[in-house]
Amino acid sequence: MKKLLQVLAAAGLILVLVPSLLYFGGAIDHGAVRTMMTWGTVLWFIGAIPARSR
Amino acid sequence: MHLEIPSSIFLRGQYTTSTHSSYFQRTMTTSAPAISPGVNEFEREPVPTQKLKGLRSFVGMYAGEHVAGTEFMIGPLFLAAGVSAFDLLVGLFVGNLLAVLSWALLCAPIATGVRLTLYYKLEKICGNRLVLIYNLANGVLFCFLAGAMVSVSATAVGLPFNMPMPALTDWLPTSIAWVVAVIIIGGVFALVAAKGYDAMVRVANTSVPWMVLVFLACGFIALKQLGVSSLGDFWKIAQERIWMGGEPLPGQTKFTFWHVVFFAWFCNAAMHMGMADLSIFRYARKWQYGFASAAGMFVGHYLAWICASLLYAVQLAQNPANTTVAPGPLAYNAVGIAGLLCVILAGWTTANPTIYRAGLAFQAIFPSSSRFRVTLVAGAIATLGAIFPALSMKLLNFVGFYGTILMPMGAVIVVDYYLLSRFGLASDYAAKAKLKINVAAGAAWVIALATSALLNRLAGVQIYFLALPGWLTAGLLYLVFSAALQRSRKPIIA
Repeated sequence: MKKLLQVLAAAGLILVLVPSLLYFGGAIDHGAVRTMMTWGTVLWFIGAIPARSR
Repeated sequence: MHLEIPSSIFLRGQYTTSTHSSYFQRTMTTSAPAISPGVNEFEREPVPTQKLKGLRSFVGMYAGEHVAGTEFMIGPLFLAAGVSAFDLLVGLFVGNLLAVLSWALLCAPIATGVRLTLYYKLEKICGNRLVLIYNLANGVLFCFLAGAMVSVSATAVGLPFNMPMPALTDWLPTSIAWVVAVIIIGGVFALVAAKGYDAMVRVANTSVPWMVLVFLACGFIALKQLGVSSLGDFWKIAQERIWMGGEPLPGQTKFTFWHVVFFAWFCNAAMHMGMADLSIFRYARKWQYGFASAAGMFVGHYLAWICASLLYAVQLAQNPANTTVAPGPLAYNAVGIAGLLCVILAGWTTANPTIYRAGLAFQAIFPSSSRFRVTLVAGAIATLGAIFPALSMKLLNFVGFYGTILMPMGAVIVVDYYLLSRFGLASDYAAKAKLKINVAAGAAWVIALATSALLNRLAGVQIYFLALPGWLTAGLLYLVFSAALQRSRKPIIA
């Protein structure tokens, strides 16, 4: 379970940063960045809060 | 700015099992009741060798502590101050480097030498009455610092309700909605701080890596929107479209290279040259761990400030007439809901411990009052301050003022530790002579503050530059007054 949470948290962090880099490189539009960052934030907190509380 | 993320990020689960007592440890006086009886926090004794911690703990703590809600204000305010690209980027580098050196070469060596909290060390030098006065100043300043954080969060909470945001030149509240938003947020922050906030500390601990990346993402998005499409474009656009220099926006002080250097150096003056972080570095195995502060300076006070500044540059580029510095809309426009949440959490997770610390400081002055009640009072003062936009719009000035008030006591500690014995004088004089107030320390502090005020009023020295002369004046006067005081009294073996 802890591994799964850690994977979720890591995926969340990737979704928070990588879209902005893709936007900077012209690969995706601004709306997509905002959506992906929102999901990244959700994943990070779902994964990180329980993982760090254990 | 430093601001104030829970010191328990560093301490919780490492030094102690008690969050509350962790705050006590860093911020507190020696006369308030222990919050967690049975947990030894070494409040009145040196930290034992087996409790010392490694470098990693300090790097993590500093990186977290300096990504706070106020970073969202400070970055844009640099831009509003008409700073140029070179002055900002190089000035911040130099100022932050000087801050790191102040932690590493002044604060950490004394901390690892005495291994006592700031407050116990001050009590030994100055006497318990003078420490109470210091606590009062500290508590009030903490309240207003928390107030700035409340107002930062209010800009995010008010956004979905189309709340009008205060303008850069506003000093008084501009709408009923603003007042209501601030009162609700300040009330919640104060209540959570007063009730205890283990859950909040957990959220704070968890938020830090995410928050840093949100800042970074804001930076990349803003750069793209400002026309930077490769790193090669950056410098040209930075000079021509972002930090163009020139006149500041109305109501703001013009910032030059030296303003940036001194601001970055002294925005945490109370912590390094003011010695508040004695309480942190007393746990360091080596004084060289003072260099861990670089993690905070170059993540929070370099990266985060620059990214926040870029967000404001986008706003000005899109609408030059919109000079409002409202972190909520700035972050939301760049990264959506993640940005809004980042502003709220950055404000909340740092306002909470700040209100708590202010409450503890007040409790030391009124020991019969409950911690719950004094924390609520501290939260009420913070909320009252936050209602007035001047507090956040003039945050750069407030930060300068904060350092100027508290930093001279750090000079007293430095002189006491390094110099008094070389002049045949006793260190820790209040403890040795059983004084409630060491007049030498008290007079040095008061005269240093008066000197700073005179420099400001008569010589026109701006507040950003007052901390250093105040610190030097306090150190010199403490040496002279100590010699006069100790030679006029019965000799004490140093």
